[in-house]
Amino acid sequence: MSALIEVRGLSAWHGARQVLHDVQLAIEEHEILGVIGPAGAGKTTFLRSLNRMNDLDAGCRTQGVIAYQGIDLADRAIDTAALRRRFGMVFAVPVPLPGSIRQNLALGPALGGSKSGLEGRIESTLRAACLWDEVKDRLDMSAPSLSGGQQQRLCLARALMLEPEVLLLDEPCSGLDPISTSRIEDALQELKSHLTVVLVTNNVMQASRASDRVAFFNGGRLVECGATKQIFINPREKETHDYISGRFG
Amino acid sequence: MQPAANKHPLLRKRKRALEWLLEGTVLSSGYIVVAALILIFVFVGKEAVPLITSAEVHEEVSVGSMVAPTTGQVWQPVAEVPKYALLPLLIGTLKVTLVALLIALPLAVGAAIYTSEFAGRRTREIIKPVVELLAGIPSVVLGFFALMVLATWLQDSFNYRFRLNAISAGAGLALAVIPIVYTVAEDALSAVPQTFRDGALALGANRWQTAWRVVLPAAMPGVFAACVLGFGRAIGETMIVLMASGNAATMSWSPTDSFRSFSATIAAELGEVVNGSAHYHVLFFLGALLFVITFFLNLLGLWYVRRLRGRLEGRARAGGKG
Repeated sequence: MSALIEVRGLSAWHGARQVLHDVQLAIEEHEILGVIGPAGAGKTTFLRSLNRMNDLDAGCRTQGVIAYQGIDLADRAIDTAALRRRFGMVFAVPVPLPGSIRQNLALGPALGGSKSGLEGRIESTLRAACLWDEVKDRLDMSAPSLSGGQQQRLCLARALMLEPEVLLLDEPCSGLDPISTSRIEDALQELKSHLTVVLVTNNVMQASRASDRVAFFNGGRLVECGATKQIFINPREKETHDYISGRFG
Repeated sequence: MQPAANKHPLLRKRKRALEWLLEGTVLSSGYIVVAALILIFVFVGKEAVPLITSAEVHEEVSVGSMVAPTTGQVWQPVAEVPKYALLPLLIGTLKVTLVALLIALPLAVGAAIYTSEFAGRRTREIIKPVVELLAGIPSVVLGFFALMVLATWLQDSFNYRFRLNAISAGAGLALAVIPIVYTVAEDALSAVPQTFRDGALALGANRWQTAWRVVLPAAMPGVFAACVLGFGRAIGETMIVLMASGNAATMSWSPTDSFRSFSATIAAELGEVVNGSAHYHVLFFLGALLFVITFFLNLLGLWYVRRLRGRLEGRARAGGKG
């Protein structure tokens, strides 16, 4: 199986501070890649460079190649709006936009000018995000009035409305209770049959439960990347071992 | 019970004199402002009431005669037979307010969207203070500008008959309204959390879609409040309208006809009027009417702002009331 995305020599700077050092990493199709590491390890910067959200931070600068279907996603010539439609993203803090649940879900397709089959897609994405049963009778209810866990699953559903090829999740469960967390993890297992997931998480156990492969970042460097089992049972690097066994971080 | 000298530290102690003083000052300034507002209305209202109640005044004019289709068409308060009319003044006031808002609101809100969403930091730091400086220009200067420069220029451009009309006065008025609407709307837009923009951009929105479909709706309560403030300024502004309207009390809704507004009428005539005369009471009646119209439209606006805000925060449906 050839890699879907191949990151080569990716470095990034916030102002003068280098936050990513020469990262080499391949992301396979239909896998869940867990990205773990202590705070400030560059996990989020790495994730945000994949769909060019870093462009929005003034003072952030990247270098390197993100090869995808024969083009370089880090290239200036990339239509970032189109890229972000294909690489959906969910943030650590749920961002329900003002308006109803339905309006939130319809926004993504509307931005791309498509309106057909919206109702059916709303149901299927809400089901995929394990939220349908809780909101099916109140789709016109205001989205910000949902609970935190529901909001986050709504954000997941909203990203899925775009039928993305890759899903970028930035600590999607950081503020959630264990039940909401396990619902999202269940949803991810269902989703990976038709898309690829990059899951940044501060929760090592979540990475071990949910991901097929794990990449461990520390101090802006990719320390190692391998099958989840291998990383958790038999890590190559001592740093990795120390982190996953909770001895630093 | 323990003696007062060694009370438990969690028990309330007596307030100290300074605390009393500070609390009293703040409290009374609050009440003074409210009382001033009420007293202004009471005073204006008291002088307006004889128009409705006094038989002496009724010999010359009544509210009925001011709006009647036969006698309520002409405003000639100092003629041999004084004539008073409400409708031409009301039409003039609404006409110029409408023209001013039609010019000012799109410009001000558009400029606010530009500065908060599209302009670079450097540009914003120049534009915002400069527009806000516009608010400091005395309205007599704006009126002068509207009278001498804008009116001529507009007449040359659009080629209409009367030089001073609702377009010239409305354009001058817009100059007074723009900075208020702009600065409040810009603050509201800038206060929208960055996460909303990120959320929209992550859904593949471009900057324009982000501004129009996400940031503007989220800031709508503030933007609408800005428009309400702008309306209040426009309907009450006197000097610009007095100078650039032509002051002819016509029954025409056409923006190219001269007109006369409530505020300008009061400003122009109250200084000359005989104290206690019918004319005097009519002018106060106009003032009270202006006060009531502004007050209720502002109230309506604020109610709507609260409703919008409630809907945004998700209270409207959950709680059943906004």
